[in-house]
Amino acid sequence: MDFLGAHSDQLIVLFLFVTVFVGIVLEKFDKTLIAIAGALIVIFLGFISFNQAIEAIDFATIGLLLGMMLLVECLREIRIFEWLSLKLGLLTKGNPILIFIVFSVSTAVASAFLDNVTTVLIMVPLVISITTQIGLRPRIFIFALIFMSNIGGTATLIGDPPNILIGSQVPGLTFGSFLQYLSVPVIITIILTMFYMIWRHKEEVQSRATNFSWLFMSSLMLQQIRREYNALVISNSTLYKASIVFIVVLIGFFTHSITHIEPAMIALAGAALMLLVFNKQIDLHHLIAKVEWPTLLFFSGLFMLVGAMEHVGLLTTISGLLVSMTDNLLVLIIIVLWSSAILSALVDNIPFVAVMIPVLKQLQMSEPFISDPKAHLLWWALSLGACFGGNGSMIGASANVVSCAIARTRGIDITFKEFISESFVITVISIVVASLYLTALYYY
Amino acid sequence: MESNLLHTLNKQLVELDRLNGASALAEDVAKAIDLTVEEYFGDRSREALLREVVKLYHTFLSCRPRMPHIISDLQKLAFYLYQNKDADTETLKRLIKTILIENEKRVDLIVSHATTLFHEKKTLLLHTLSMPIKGLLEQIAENRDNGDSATVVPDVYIADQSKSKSGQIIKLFDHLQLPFFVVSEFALAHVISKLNIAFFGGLTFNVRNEVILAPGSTSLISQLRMAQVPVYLCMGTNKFSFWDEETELAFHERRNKSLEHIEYAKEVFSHDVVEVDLFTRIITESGLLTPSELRRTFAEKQLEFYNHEREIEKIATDDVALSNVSRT
Repeated sequence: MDFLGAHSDQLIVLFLFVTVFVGIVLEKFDKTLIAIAGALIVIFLGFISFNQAIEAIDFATIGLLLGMMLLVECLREIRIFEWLSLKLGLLTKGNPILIFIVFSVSTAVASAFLDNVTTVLIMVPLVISITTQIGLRPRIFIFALIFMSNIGGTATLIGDPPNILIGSQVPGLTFGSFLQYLSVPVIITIILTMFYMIWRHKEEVQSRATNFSWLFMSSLMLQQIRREYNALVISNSTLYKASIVFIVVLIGFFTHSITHIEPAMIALAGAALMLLVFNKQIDLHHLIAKVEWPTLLFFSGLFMLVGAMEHVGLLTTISGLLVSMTDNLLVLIIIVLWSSAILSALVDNIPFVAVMIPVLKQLQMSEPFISDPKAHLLWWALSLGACFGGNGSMIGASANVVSCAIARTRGIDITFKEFISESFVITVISIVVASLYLTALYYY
Repeated sequence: MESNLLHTLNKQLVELDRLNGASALAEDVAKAIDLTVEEYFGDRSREALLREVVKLYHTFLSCRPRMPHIISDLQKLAFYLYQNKDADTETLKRLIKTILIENEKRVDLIVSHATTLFHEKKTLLLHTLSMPIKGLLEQIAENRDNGDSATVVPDVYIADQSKSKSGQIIKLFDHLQLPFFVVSEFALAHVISKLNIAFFGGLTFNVRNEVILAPGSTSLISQLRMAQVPVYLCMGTNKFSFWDEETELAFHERRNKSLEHIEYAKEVFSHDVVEVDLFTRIITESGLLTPSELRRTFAEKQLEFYNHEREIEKIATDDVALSNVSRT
């Protein structure tokens, strides 16, 4: 490749990365296959050696993803999620506005600590079942869960893959700092989104307590949930043990800046502890088979590609281009926020974030940002943009795709246009909130 | 009730009946009415409640397949509101509780009559699980645990049908620690010589002397009768269906299937229809009845039902009659 020169190397690697990116968007092949193929090509063409490619894989991220997958699967095996969702169903009393609020808030909270796809896999089928049983149109409720999973997931280091990537790869960013900087815009956005959706669909979520027939149907649905709840035999000791282990893991995350234990280690140790506690109820082989290995391979492939980009100096070039655009940090923060939001709405946000992390790292180390104490806001701009932007379209985030697929299997077809008409204002609201919040942080 | 709500309710009832069985559904409906009365923020006067209960009664009459035991419960509520000028939400809720207790007692009575058939060792065939059959098995297990010789634990063959239905029976046997064998419902011929009693749970008995029960029952009962194995039906008399009309007796749908490259449609029926005379005895709350005794009981209940129906129809079709209710 020497004859092409250094910049030619960068152009070829950029072309390969864009090809992988487009391949992922077009979905003609599995995205894991595309990412791994891209990684193999850059190794084969000599842009990065095999050993360098392996070194480029961020095992802190892979370990955290693996640990969280195992932990979530353990909780699923002991049927905690089933129990929790039925409990939520009973809490709503069949009242549409309560169904909306209880499930939206629970989804947002759950997404902060579980991955978004797991959250919607638990919540969406139940909310479809509840709403259709009482003659409500489930669409508005499905949309609420999708938006809430993406917004709620933004609040923590483990809530959304972009945050896992950022939290694992950027030194100094802790579980606590994610909560400290992101919980405020997340809470504001959750409240605004819920108000906006209730206002827009007030006819559908209003209480029907003066309609006897309707109330009867909703009471019948509650009876069925109660029956399922009673049939689900989960002992108190199972609940206590699972809660204790989960709380221990959360304490581990909260204190990792003090203990200096990697989040990946905490998640893996939590999964191991859960397995030890429930060794009679959980089959290890079955559990390991449930891990989303293609996702882990997808991340590994991306890391190798990004490693090649770094190796040929492409990331330095990109960060140089960004610096040449502006030396105003606030402008740069807003550019990172909006560009990551727009890109996340249109394409998979993981490759974008994977590239942006080393770019922003280099940017932070270059003048004039190296001496700016507010330069860390760039990370929150990337996180808020990538996570909130996921709400922008039907393919913006995995939770959107999975929820729409679940809806389709139950006879509810959500079109791309319909999704945009519902999500556009909410995405704009959330990014405006994030812009104002980051601007406020910049000045104060 | 608007047509889309009727459609939703109908779909929900069919689904709940399939999931939990007819008796459990009746219990859920009664409890749901109780909760509705409690949570209702509309007009709670007696005449308004009567109007709503009658509306609900007609909705259930419009559902297909009709669920006579639930309709009968609703008729009781409407008739009570119609007849009692002091009726209010509290007394209505008390009546609902009474209905629930009556339904429980009915099952208990059927169970106690059924246990008389297990004073000695039997080899029993089970195909479906109804509330009384579940109660019978629990009673046998309890007697065994207490060392009570009133019943002898039978050898049980479970005629395997759909995974969920057979699964329910197997789980119950496992829970009660009762021994069992499983045989495919289409391979009964291989074990039929060992059987000396068979139990089925019934959904409805109608004016055409037919019993509606789980799909697959007809062929099993025919085989059992040919082999002269006594066949018992467990069913309360609240499950009588008094309407004579040309509607399909079983919920029917066409499901698209594919086999490699071959696309085809499969006709799926929710129930089977069996002549009542094919049963040796029908175990009801009134005892072990012969088919002709069951027909007589049916005629008596039908008369009572239609007398009440006529009164309720007056309310439903005549607004003046409804407004007069408050002055009754």
